[in-house]
Amino acid sequence: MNSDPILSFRNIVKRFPGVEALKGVDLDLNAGEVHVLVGANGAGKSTLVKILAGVYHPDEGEIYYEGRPASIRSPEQALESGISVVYQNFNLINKMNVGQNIFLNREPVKGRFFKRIDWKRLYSDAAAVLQRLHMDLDPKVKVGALTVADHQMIEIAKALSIECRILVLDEPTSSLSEQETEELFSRISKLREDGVAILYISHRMEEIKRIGDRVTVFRDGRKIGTEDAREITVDQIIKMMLGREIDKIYPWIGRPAGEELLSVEGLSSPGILRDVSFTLHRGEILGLAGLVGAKRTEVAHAIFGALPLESGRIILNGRHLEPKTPRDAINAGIGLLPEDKRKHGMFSILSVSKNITSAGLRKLKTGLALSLKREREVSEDFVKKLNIRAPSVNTRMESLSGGNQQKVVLTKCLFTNSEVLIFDEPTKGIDVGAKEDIYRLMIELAQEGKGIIMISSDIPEVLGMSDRIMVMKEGRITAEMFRDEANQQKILGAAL
Amino acid sequence: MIPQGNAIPLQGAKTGLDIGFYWERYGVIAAFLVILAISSVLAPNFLSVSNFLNVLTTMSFVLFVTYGQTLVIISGGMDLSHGSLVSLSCMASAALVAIEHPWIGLAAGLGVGALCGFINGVIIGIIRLNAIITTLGMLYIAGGLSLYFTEGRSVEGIDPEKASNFHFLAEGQIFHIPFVIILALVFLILTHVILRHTRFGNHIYALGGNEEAAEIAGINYARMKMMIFTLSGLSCGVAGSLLTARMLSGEPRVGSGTFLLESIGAVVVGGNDIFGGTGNVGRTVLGLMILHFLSNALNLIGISTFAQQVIVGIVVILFCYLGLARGK
Amino acid sequence: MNADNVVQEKVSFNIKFIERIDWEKYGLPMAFICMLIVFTLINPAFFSFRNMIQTTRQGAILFLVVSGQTFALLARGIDLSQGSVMGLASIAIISSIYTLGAYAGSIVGILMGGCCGLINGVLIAFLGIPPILATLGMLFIALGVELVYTGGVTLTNLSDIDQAHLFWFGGGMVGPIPTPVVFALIIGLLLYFLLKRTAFGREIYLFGSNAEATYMAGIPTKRIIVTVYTLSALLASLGAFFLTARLSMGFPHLGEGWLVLAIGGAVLGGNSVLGGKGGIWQALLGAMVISFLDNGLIVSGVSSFAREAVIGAVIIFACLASVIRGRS
Repeated sequence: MNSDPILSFRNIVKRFPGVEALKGVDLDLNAGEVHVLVGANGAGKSTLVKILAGVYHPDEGEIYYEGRPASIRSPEQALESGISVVYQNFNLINKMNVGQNIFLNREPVKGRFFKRIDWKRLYSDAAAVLQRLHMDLDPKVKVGALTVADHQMIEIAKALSIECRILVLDEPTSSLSEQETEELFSRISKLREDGVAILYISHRMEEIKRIGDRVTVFRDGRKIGTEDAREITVDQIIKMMLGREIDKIYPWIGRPAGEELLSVEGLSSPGILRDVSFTLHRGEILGLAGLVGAKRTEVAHAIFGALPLESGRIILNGRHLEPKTPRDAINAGIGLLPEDKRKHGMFSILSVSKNITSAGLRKLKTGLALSLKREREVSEDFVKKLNIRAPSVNTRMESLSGGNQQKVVLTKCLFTNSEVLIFDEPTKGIDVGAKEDIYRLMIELAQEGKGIIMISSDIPEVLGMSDRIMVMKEGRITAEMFRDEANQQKILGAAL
Repeated sequence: MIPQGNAIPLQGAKTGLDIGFYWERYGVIAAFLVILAISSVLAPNFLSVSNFLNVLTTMSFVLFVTYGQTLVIISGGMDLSHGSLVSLSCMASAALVAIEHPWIGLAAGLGVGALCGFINGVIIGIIRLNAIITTLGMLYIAGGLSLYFTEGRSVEGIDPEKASNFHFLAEGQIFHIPFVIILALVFLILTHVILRHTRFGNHIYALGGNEEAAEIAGINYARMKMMIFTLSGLSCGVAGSLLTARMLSGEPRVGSGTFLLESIGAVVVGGNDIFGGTGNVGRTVLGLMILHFLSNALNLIGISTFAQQVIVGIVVILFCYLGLARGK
Repeated sequence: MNADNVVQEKVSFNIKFIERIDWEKYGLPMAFICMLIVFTLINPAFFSFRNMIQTTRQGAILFLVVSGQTFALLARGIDLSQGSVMGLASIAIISSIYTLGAYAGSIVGILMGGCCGLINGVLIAFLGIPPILATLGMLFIALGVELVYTGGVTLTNLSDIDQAHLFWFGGGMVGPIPTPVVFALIIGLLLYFLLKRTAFGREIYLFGSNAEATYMAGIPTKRIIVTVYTLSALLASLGAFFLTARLSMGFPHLGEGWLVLAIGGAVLGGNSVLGGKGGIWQALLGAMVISFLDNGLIVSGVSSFAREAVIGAVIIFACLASVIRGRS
């Protein structure tokens, strides 16, 4: 195998208004290796990926492709050069079908004088690609009708259908099941054998060790180091990412059990939820585990008044509750940190303070007007308390990194003084530092007497943070267990 | 980028999904047939060949702009300049037919439409200004220009004999079928082939479905928008030139009537998604037929043109509502 | 820190001065002042006290309509019906005055215009029709209703007493300032307070920024939509009132041409078509620029036909400039 790297970045600098995302970064990619790239959110990984994909252009620095200086001017050019990227946010067109998505901008054509799309070949080629990934999908199905996991596999199929020299995978397993992840890994191995250079970005430490050949750590726009993935330890990686050690990933401590706070009985909605019942106590962190599609978010929405129920009772603090809209739920003291923060939780173009106060404007009222002063004070308090990194409370949300955005959305629930807090995937896609902060906060809130329902697909997280664990599958609760009797197998067993 | 302001309930309860499916496929056709049926009962002369041909002939002139609008809407935009561009190309073609030669006049009409469309495309595609603002501004500019050169008067002075071939395009017949209808059919097939069988057409759907994803897949946003809006402007040029051919003069306000409403209304009533990404030109034709036959029937019954507008407006809204209910 | 550093810092400071100016905030006001200077140079009469005052009279009316459009835009919508609503309001006002007298009749007429907005809001909030379609439909329905009701005839024939009472509102003065300007300023201040300092105003910004998140934050979204479109129509009707008051005439085409100016002015001033960004100050700025531009063109002797084209061009170029600035 050729020892020269197939792709090299030298001293890459990329600036955006107000921030320098990459501060002079070097990176080498070898053919036939899986090179893992890790770093906190905002460390610059996605920026580098976009430069490689031709979406951004570096302000300074050089790129060498196969030893020769190169410049990647557009996504089209990147594709032509054999660079294929699977992004973290899917770029699929819901209104089109699977086949069209896979071959977008590469549709096969026929005819000499007049180039027509060869639909037949497109669909048969698409079927072949899906077959290779052991996916049982009709290429004529509209993408919008499929699940998130399917979307992720289609994105991967898209990349794999191109004869590429360099494949970039940005958090490819975040929505996949174990089985699908295995499938992906076996494909990656095969590609590695074929000499493809694979740049793999992930937050999951187990994956780094499992699939990686080398690992590079970014921090604050700089490369901290490149090491052999098989030799380095997880702790060492984390230390490089954060610049410091963390003692325990999960700051769980024992707490006295409180009285019953929320009681949910027989929640049912045809086709969605089936007879869901459980209780939540003060000071308790209830973990809700399950696979993607188990309808856990739907339970959250039902309690929050965002999902119509056919039957069931919700009792909060002894009082019967029938939330028909989120407003009812918020007024009763229930707060939700939504799974899809971009869609349901965040006002991107508005400021941090406006986001924080959005669910509790009533509290800012003095007479007819809002007290802007109070808004600022309250926001600044929260920003300090949660360690939110933002230039000021007037900064627009879109300028913040993912982890900080999540913290702000979390603060919304705190501002309304909710007693029951439902956190839906609170640390998904968030860097280790911010995760730590959120975990600590959860423990603090529990100690204050709040009841927390934590929905998470990260089993170690569920095991590490919960006092009690519930597992759901296809809209039903399939298992309940206390912390000390829980383990990975039991949870998976109930979830599958 | 079309503004939306709906309050969207989070979980789409799956009520009436079956109805939605059938409505989506066949609803518009059914509605059309229903309107035909009711009209033939209520209006005395509705079901006659001559009446149908009349309606189809009038309709054909508008059909051309709807083809362009279909392309634009499927790509996720909207072209509000349609009425004014028709006026402008009418004036331009009339002027050059009178001064020079009919076919030069035709070229002028087409060229002016395409040029204005191109300008729209450049502003929308390269500078990425909102399509609505841009075409709204073009509406104003083109409309003003139509009036400016002749200070609001029409262009006369076309020699009917010199322009007889040109005139044939709009008023002639082949085997008793008006030539415009045939022309409209030809363009219909052309548009359909473009949309469904070329890469360009597929990319139009992609842009309308998810702009960002399309760009990341390497589709050149600027080039696409320029081509789409140029074609849209060209379609107005065709309509404007044909109007000149029919009237043998240039009317500066010819497009300021219902061209724009019909152009958008046809696309929407036919069942195309106003946000783009799906649909086809056949639906647009159906939509326009509904609007025109409805108008025609109301006319024959004796309802004033004023009241017609009210009814047509209500119909457009009704169809939008039904179309959206299907989506939920 | 040695001498070299100091020199270097000084040089870069001078170069960066151009970049230091907050173009987004000061660009338009600066362009406005330049425009005033240019027009005064062309014709010194432009800058006369009398001309300025007269222009603000029209400008105040435009400001009201633009403010209404601003509310729709902030909620990530658009109100295409404002022009027709103005006509309807004028007719309603004159008709009501026949039976109720000047004051009561005016109020009733304005409220009737507001009802159109209420209907818009209901269609959008409860039936889920996209704002662009709902208001487009209302544009035609309102127009049709007006034409049917009046039969195309302009309503005049107010009694002398009523005319006298009415005239003060539209054509009169409060000291040296035209009456509409006084009203517009007061209303403008109230609206500014509403948007920036009340919960309801804040809710509008939230909704325009992210409708679903607003729902999830426990804010009743339907209420926002209905109110926003009602306000838009009410403000347009108010604008129509001042126009009608001066002319003592009511006719359907009163609002013709105002829609493009309203949208253009709102966006020009800095309101975002995508919602969540902008406000009353932006509305004022946009309205002022357009009013003085129009007046400047008249005073400079540009024909009315060319004026339309110029204003359209200016709207496009100004939006372009703001978009480009926002990008770099």
